[in-house]
Amino acid sequence: YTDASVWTDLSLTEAYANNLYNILPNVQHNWDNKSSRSWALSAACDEGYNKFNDYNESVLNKGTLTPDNLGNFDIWSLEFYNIQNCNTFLSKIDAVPGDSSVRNRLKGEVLYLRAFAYYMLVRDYGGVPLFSKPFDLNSNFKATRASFDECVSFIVADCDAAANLLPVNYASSDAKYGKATKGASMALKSTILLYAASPFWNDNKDATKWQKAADAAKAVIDLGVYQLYSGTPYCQLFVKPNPELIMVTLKSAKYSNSYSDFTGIETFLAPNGFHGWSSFAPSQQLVDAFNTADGKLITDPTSGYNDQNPYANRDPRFYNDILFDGRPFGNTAYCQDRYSAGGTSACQFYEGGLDSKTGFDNWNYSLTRYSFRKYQDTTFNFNTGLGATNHFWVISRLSEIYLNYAEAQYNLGNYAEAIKYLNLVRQRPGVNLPALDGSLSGAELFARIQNERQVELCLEGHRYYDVRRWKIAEGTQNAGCRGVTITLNGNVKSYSYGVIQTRAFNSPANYLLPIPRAEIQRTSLQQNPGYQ
Amino acid sequence: KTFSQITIKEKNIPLLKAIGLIQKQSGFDFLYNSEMIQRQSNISLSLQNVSIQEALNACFKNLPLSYAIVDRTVIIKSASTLVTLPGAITESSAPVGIIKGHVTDETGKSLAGATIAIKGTTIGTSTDADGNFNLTIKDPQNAILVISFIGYKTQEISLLNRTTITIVLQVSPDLQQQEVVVVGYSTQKKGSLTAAVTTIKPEDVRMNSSPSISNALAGVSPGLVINNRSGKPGYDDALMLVRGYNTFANGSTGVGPLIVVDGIPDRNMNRVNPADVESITLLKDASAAIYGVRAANGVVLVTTKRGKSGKPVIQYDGNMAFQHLTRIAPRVNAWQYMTYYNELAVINGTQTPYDPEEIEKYKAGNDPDYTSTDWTDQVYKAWAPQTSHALSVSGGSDNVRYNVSGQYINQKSNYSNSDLSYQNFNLRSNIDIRANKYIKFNVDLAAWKETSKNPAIDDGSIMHEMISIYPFIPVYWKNGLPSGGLGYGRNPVLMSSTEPGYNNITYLTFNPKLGIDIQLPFITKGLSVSGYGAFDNINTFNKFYKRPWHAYSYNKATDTYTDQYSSTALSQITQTSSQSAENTLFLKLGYDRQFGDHNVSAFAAYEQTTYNNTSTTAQRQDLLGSSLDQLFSGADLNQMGTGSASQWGRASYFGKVDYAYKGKYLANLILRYNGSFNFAPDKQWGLFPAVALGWRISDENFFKPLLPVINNLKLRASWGIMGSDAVAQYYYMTKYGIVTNPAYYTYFSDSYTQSTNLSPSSVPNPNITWEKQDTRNLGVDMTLLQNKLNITFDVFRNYRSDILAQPLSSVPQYTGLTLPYMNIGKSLNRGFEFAINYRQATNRAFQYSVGVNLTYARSKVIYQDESPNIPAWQQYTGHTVDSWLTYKTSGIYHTQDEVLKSPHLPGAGPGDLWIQDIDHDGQITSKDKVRIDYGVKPRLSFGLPLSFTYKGWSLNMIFAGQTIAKVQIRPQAQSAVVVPPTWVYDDRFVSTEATPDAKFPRASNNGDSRNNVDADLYVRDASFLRLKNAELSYIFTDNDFLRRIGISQLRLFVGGSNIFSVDGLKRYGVDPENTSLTGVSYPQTRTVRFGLNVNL
Repeated sequence: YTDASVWTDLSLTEAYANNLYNILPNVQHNWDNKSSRSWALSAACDEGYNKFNDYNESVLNKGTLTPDNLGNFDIWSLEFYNIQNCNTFLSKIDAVPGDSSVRNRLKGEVLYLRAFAYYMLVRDYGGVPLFSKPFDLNSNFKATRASFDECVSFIVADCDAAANLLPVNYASSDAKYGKATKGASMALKSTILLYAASPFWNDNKDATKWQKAADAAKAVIDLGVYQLYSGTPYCQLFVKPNPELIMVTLKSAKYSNSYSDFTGIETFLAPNGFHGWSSFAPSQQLVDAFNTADGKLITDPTSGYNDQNPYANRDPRFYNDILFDGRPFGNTAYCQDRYSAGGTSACQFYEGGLDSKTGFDNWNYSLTRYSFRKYQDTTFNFNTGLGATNHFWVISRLSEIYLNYAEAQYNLGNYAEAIKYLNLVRQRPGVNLPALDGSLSGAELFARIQNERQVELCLEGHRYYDVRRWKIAEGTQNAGCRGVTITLNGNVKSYSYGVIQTRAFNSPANYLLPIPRAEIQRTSLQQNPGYQ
Repeated sequence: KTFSQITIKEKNIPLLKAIGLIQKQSGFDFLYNSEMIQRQSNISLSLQNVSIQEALNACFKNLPLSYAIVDRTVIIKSASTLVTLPGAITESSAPVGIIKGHVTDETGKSLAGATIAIKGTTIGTSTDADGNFNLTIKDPQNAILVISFIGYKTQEISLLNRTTITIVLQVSPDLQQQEVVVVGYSTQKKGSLTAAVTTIKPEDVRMNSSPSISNALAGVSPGLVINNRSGKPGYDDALMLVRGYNTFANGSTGVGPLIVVDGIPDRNMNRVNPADVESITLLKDASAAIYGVRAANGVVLVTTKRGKSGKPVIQYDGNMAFQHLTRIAPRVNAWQYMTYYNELAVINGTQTPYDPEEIEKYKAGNDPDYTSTDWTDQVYKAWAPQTSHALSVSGGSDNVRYNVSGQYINQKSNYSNSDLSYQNFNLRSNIDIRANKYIKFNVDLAAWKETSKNPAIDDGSIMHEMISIYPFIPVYWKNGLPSGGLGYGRNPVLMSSTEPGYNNITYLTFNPKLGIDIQLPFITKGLSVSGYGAFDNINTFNKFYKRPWHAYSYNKATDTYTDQYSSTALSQITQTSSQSAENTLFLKLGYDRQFGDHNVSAFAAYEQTTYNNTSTTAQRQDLLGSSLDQLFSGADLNQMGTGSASQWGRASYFGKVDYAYKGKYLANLILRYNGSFNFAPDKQWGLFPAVALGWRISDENFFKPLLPVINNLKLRASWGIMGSDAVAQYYYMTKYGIVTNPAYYTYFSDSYTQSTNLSPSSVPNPNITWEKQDTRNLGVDMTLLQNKLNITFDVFRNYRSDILAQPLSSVPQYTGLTLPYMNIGKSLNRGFEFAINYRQATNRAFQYSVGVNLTYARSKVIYQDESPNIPAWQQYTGHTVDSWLTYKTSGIYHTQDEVLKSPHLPGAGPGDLWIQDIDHDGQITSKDKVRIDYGVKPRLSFGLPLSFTYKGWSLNMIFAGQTIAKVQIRPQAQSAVVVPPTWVYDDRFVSTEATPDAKFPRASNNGDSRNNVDADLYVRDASFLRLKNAELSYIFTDNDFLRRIGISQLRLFVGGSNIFSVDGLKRYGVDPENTSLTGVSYPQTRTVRFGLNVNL
């Protein structure tokens, strides 16, 4: 297709806009697709571990990040390429003939996507150059980095503009999920404003930033179109589209037909005893973050937590998010040889068990002795190992907005309001934890907010950035990645905990990624501190 | 007697008619000046069953004409120009002695029609078709025989009472210089060439045992750099470069020469039957400018054989060959593997994956559950057969001549468990028809059918698995079931078989050409018009069938096997049909004439080539069962039908003038006005000129005293501008394409509906145009020592500008622009080449020829887009075109102390690369990389053709080699679990104490950011000298038994290619022509073959 046809035929223009949705992270585990940093992020923080170092997270985990080596975390040129394509679209869309309502909607979608591209850039690199017009061969290529706050204003402006153009919901059901909406734009605005108000970006503790963050989150809540997922079990929230989801990216199981393709997330999440790869495994730190069933932190002496019977009486979300020793998993019919080998659906992470290094495909055993349950669809057939399941990746959902709101209100001193929204998340049907003590305040309350995000939003790509904006990454990274070893003596299991991967963090440099050397060598941009 | 007996009874007929009759009855060709023949008076003949000599003697008895017979051609000349005495008189004196003699050329071939005269008398005779003569001599003691023959040096021999004598005539320099050489769109005599041109003879081509004749060119000619990068059946074509690397554009495309077969560009020379090759000519300098916009990388002209009049000559060539991988790196066994990866885990701070107890069991090797597999050995077998049969018939009459041939090749692969094979049925028919005195037609048809059977899984994946699979996994479990490799059935022995399906490709190529040649002497002498049209077609049919296969995993703990059948693959059929048509039309107005001392040969021509390709692909998945490999058995879901199309075209007006004064001052002028479809309409046309001058100093009077030493000396100089348009079409337009990579599909709605996506291509460049090359050449041709020693020396300078490259390094990434190909680069390629050949050929039984040819080509980047802030020591400018950019190391760190005292990468420890801090900033960054001024393309390449003949025996060898080239070998870069080659393992660092002399880093894999980097430690000299092709043969001629069964000649041979190599890479198990970093490409092969040639 030529220039002339794409920008005169609205259906081709829409096809161009559709392609820009690739800006958003998705569930695909494509080893070389950097925009899909969905899984990789959890393995580069204290949330999890990637056995095969698929995205070269070890560069971040070992603190050996340099402008020459960003693992596979370098999204610099990719996102600017996406922004250029958004800007091309935005410079042409107004002149495309056709239905103006379609045109405006498409414009809104692309504004949202451009905002998202910038959002991804700034949380990694800090302030970046801002462009709202496309470059061509004759453009002046010189640019300087805008400040972080200027970038935030730019992103917020795009979100606002997009929110004005986008529908709250798509009339036709065929676009209900996956397309940008008013709510999606407002949710993105809430997230970026939360980041902007956070300690790492808010040196002078400017409370107005928290106010803006609170307002933006409240605006999404007040839109009134999203509801917390009320079905059970809770894990279905991440498998079937539902009203809690504000924005998702969908991937159909349609294109997965060999070992070299995307084979369904079940394959790379499940334990080896189910012929999974245990590629991404939860850390002991994440497991420990789940409260006990009575809503207490396990560090609380009154919680009754016993580290030699660690999986009893925990937050119901623990059973929905994590596969641990003894947790039944999967459909009996879908993993036939596990049963032929004398196993049951219960995971056997103990030494000598089917899901240990002496089980099937033993190179795939989980080093932490946990696997993720979250996102797994038990209709997946492990006998065939072929992707037969549809999946989505959560970009924004209501409980994140609640937690954004709670955190902002906490920082404005409105503890009661913060607790109220924490409880909404904790007391939803399917979770039903006891309410938090209404007298919680200060650091104690903040710890619960942090804990709630760690648990509720695990494996959604938040923790990596949360520990950075809270300025606690140095501590969380240096603690290494922990796991458990379970030994079976007769009928008694004993649990010993330890570091399975040592990690290092160079503070403050590693709070941001370095701008790639290739870019520094061709521009006059300022490198981020701590990198040479 | 194999030649005709002539019977003519005619009175008073024109000589022309008489010649016609003799021609018809004898099958001999005649060469004469028709004017001269027409001037003669009529003759009468009464001949009954006489030989051709007798018939001719009778014809010319009373005429001032003489003749000579060369091969099967009769040359008629006016008697005054010959030294010899026609119409021998043998009965005039009293017979005293009879001498029997035989005349041959230097190679032992009998010469028919040579004249033998007795000095000082008028007595003489000429040799018959077998080169024999009888002469009656009065004074055998003192008689001196004068033997002469056109094209050969006249010899005088004292008879000294001998009654039998064999005389060997030496080629006169004149004949060598008369040799006709095919150049662009025309032919030229070697003596009048002004260009750097090499002709490769069919003998060299036939010695090669690969089905791809490009492999035959290694070491044969100066100026040609040949590298074979793979031995895969059907895909082993050699990489050709004429005079090295002239440009850095477009990676591997756009650097090789233009291939022209029988005047038609883009034909596949590799599929020409070697027995059909008449000659291969290389145009290396500005003489290639006649090919205009495609000339800049040189031109290879392949000419196929045409028929000669005479009785049919039937020839059969057959051979059987065996292929053997030249080299493949040996890899570690199970316990070494486990040890290595345990070491890696310790370095990475993770748990060690292998139990020391298990390692001990593997080490002990006495438990059948703990065995080690050498996967390389399992995937490949030692010998794979290859056969070839070719049959040709050649002959014709005065009006119709033909050369028809057919060839069948069947080549198997070295995969031990595979049906992979390559077959080719090849047919060619070249027919010349003389319609009348002025008009000739030629009809050339070539067609071949290639069938390439491949595993469904590509070689790269098979090789990847082969070197990634754990050596403790067996090919077959102890109960005989095949193992599933690293999961999903990825057992490379199965993957290379047809178990997972197949990928079969059939190519049907049809190359027809119809030509006409009209002489127009009635308009003006020397004028002719000729033209041809060719309608080349390639139909490709590709059937890709993938199906699940049975492979098993084994659980040691429970002693159970699990079939991975259902997880191996989703059955799928993809069928692609593609049709390419390339049409060439050519029209030429030629003019050849001699005006006294001035010789003019000129032409003006028009040529157009158009190409189009359409392809259709259909795909279905999830077939019903795995037994029916048909599209219709697939599920409707996800079925796909798609297609593509492409086209290009070129048109040209061009001409050439060759002028020679007295045959010693030579000049050529070439002009081509060329248009290419690859560029915007207003940028399509360009002019490409070339001038060449030559001076045959040896023809000058002042040179005469030197002639006995230097038989021939010529100086040549040429200059020209030529182009290269090797970029894809439509770069001048903005394009958008539908996204077809499933990784970039987007889906919307709760039913996960796929949307249509359009993605932009690069920014358009409306100004895009061809690359230009200023080509200069200075050369000397010399023949010495009675033409035994030939020397050619050339110096050249190719300055390429407007190189098409994407300026990707200077434009900031934040612009998001992928800049288009632009005419921005400049490079300079300078060098020299020479060839020396010495041929010792006398009447002695032992004869030999030895040669050396050498090409030095030094490319240098003059301008390339680079990042403005790049350190000076990394700049590409000023360096070899494919130079390496690597870290400089001081080996590896052996102690912690060494690490601490030098700048190092974060986390570095003993056993890591000791990278030097080039910029002295106290840190190791990519700024410390330096440019090594060498690339994988050799700067110096050479060849040594050797040939020895003793009676019927002959031994021919071609050594080929290269130096000033570097490769990088880094096997650990392949994967996270790659099995290290033994040399990596044996020389690795383990600890300061245990391995004080370790040369290579500690255990590492592809994720190791400190050791898996470009470093000089991995860069190796790629120099080699290899016996590329060799053949030992014995020829039976004049064998009574063979003659009785109808065979006139039989030749038996044994030969081979890539026989051995002397180089520094043997230790690494790497073929010196392999440039793959980690070695995952189908390896090169060594071939040994046996065969025979039969002539009827």
